Amino acid sequence: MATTTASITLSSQDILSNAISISSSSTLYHDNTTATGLTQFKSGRVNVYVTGGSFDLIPALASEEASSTNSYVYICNKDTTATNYVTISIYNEVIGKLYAGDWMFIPWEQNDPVGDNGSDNDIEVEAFVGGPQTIEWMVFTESTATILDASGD
Amino acid sequence: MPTLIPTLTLTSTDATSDTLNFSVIDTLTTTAPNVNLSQIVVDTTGANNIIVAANDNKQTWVYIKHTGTTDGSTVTTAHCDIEITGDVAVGTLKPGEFCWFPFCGNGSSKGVQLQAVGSSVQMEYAYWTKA
Repeated sequence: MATTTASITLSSQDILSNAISISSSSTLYHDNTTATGLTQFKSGRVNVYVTGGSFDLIPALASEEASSTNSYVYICNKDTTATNYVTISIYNEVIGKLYAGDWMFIPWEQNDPVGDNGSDNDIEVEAFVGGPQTIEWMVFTESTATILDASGD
Repeated sequence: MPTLIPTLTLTSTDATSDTLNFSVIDTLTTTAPNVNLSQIVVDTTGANNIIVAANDNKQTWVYIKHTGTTDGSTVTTAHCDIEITGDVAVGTLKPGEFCWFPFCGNGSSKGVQLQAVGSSVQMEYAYWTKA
């Protein structure tokens, strides 16, 4: 089964009197176990335009909404204009702003971030300035269902 | 202005046909207030464990890690939810896991809090404010 490892380093020469370097590494596990094997992976690159509305960047799948599968999400704003940003939201709750060059890495449970097992746990993106801004993303998941939206036709 | 350089690396030899060996680096210019690496024992009530105070629109970058222990030495398997104040969960960290994300109050006076699931856990965290 696939083993995926995430590592982070946070370093600075001038935030404190002494240089700092914080490092951590983690194997990506199944929910509630130390089993590896996040067998499904999706990634993408999209241009996000300023439209006055948000878009589902990584939609929660109906097949996952009532389960407890575990996922990990990486998102990066590849824009190069420092003042440009997008907001990232879960369930319409803005988490924060990804400015040009910024990235994030979080665990994501499609089923229950708001405690209602609802269909509203999408990760959303909205651009407010500049653009279009290019957003890259990856999602690693342990799901045993097809991680695609069902065809409606 | 002080500069913080976060780097993420994702690796796998078998997640995809092609070896995954991916890195991304950022350069962040910071200002006060900052909270450098800290440890906290998190209980099961999120409101007791607010690590980023509520604010209206202050952009911060937040690092959180589950130490895998209750107190620095006693191993635990308990999870810890990462929440926006008001109990809106961002995700759940399991022992040994970390996350890194931007946070802003988004004009609604929100902060970041931690809530252990089932029993207390020791967590590490830090945040830095965008200049």
